[in-house]
Parts: sequence; C-alpha cells; structure tokens
Amino acid sequence: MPDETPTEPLESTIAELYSRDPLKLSDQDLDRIIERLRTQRARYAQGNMTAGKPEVKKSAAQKKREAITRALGPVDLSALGL
Amino acid sequence: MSALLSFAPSGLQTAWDATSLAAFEKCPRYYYFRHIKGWQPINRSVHLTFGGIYASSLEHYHKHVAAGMTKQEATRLVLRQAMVDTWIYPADPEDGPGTPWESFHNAKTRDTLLRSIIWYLDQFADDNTPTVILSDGTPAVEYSFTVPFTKDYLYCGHIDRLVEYSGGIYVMDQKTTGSTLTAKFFSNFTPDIQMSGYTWAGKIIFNLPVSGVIIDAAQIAVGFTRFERGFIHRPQSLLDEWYENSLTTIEAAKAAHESNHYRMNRTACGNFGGCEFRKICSRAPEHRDNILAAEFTRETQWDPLQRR
Repeated sequence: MPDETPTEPLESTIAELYSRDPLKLSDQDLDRIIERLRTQRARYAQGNMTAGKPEVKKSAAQKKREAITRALGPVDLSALGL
Repeated sequence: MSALLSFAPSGLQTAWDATSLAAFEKCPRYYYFRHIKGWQPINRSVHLTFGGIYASSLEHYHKHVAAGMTKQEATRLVLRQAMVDTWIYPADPEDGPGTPWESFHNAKTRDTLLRSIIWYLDQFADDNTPTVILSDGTPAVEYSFTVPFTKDYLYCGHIDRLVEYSGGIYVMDQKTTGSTLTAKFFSNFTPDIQMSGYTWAGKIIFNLPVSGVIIDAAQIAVGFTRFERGFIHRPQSLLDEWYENSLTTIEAAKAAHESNHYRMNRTACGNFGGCEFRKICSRAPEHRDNILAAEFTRETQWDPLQRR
C-alpha cells in the first residue's frame, strides 16, 4: 500500500536542515542556514533578545499530525456530527 | 598509546605550554593525574568541545579568506565543517546517517554553536584587524610554535591569528562564556599564563613588537550571542616576570618528578565548580587507582609538542 502521508513543505526550517547529515547538504542548503542566522542577528541587533533562540525540534508524531492537518485542511466538527 | 613527544623517557616533561604550566600551578597533584598519568573524564567537557570548534572555525575562516576565497565561500566551508564536527556518525554506515551532537547543556548546544560562528563572522565582516602577513608572504594564521625556553626546556603553543590593530600587533584569541561580558571578565586575563605566553612567544617567533592579545569574547545565551572585544597589554617587564615565574614552576615540577611526590594544593579543590579529581583525592590512597580506572580514561594524553 503506498504511503499517503503528505510530504513536508519544500521550505525547510533550520531545525530540519540541522537534522540532516551535513555532508549531504548542498551549498544552497548552507546558504539558506547562513541567511536565516544573519536574519536572526539583525533582529537581535534591533533589540529582540530571543531572536537566536533555537527552533523547538518537532517529534516525528507532531510532524505527521501537522502534515495530515495541512492535507485535510480545517476540520468542520459539525460536519462529523460532533 | 604512542610515545609522547613532550616528555623524557623518565616521564619528566621537557616541552611546556600554558595548559601544563597552569595545571601545575593550580595543583601539582592535579598536574600529576592529568598530565603525567594522562587521566581525564570519560565525557569531554562541553566547554572544551564548544570552545574548540568555535575557535577553530573562526581560525579556518581567516585562513581561507587569506588564501583568496570569498567570504561567503569561506563561511559556507567553516559552517559545514562545524556541522560535521558536531555530527555523530555511526561506526557502521548501515546503522543510518547518524545524529547531531547532544551537549546536555542549556546554552552551549549545537544550534547555538553554529549560530555563534555565523553571528561572529557577520558582526566582524568588515573588521579593522587585518591578519599580519609574514615576510615570506604567508598569513600568520594557525601557527603552532615551539621555542627554546632554557637549554633544557621548550615552550610551545598555538596562535590562532596575529593581527594589526591601530598601529599595534596583537595575538587574536577567542573565548566563549556563559557570563555577561563586563570589564571584570577581561580583567581575569591579567595576570594569566596563556596571554603572557602568547605575547612572549609571539615576539620571539615573529620578531615583531607584539603588544599583547585581543580577546574576542562571545557570551553564549539561549536566545542570543553577544560579542565584546578586550585588549590585554603586556609590557616587557610583565613578560620578564612571567618568564621567571614559569621557570620556577618548571623547576618545582622537576623536583616533584625526582621525589615522585606531587603535593595536593588543598585550597584549589573547590575552584571553578570543583576539581574533577576531587573525588579521587577524597578517597584513601589505596583505592584511587581503581576509581580512576572506572571513572576516567587515558585514551588521549595532553602532549604539547603534538601539532594540531
């Protein structure tokens, strides 16, 4: 049976890039990390003292729940008779 | 264990660096356990891992740029290397791609390490501290040195980078800390064995009027990394005094070696969060070897003459 779990969005978060084997990251991936960290620093320079706080890493279960929610869209509980 | 370069066959240390000088001055027994017997905690200190990768990343960046690489290329290269250095590859590739290093520290983590490297390079992108170019055309970056201390001893170490600043020449050093960066933080480096040693050796190796050390300090917090630059000056009279004190330390180490008695400095046991060997010294002498073997490792021994 094919896996029908929806795929993650193309835009990768820093946490997702950090979780990959670094030798498999492309130059574009590295540039994306650098750019995002620079953006964080710019926000810090403007006074945001938590600008560089690492993203909370999502569990596999959480990522799957979010992917399913994205695929199904908003759920109307009344349509389910709830 | 391969033969150590910095010790005579008798076990007497003949090549000294700031780390081993500081160890003996802190406590001869600590020096004995750590440098003569080579015991160290099984789990490497997070501060050493974090600070080591951070400093080497910045050092390599300057080497790449001095070699002609663009700043973006050099940044990319050191970022990837830092990510590899903090990635645990399985012994068997069949076991998967590996996992990120877990520091088990609230602020010094893989994420904050990578952030700190990029933020530093971004903040000092247009820095006014160019690397000194030596007379043979090579940049003074990543410089491991060995110089005669006396006819019997050598002094060795590693200078990350020699820079020019406001008409003076300085050794550049990186420090990371969890503390707030104040004037008190920088005052901790005077007196300091490492900073004086850098300046003393820098003058001899490069034959240049090295004024002291610039410390680029990074305060590592969960949500940010803050940088401050401090200047550590060392006039010649202070360097002369450092040299005399260091010789006295080395002679004391020789006397301890000859008598095979490395006394405890019992006033140092609680410093900096407590000595790692405190629990060893607390036990009866007849039990110490067993506890050391159970809780420490001798996998690698500090050997100052080994090049990085």
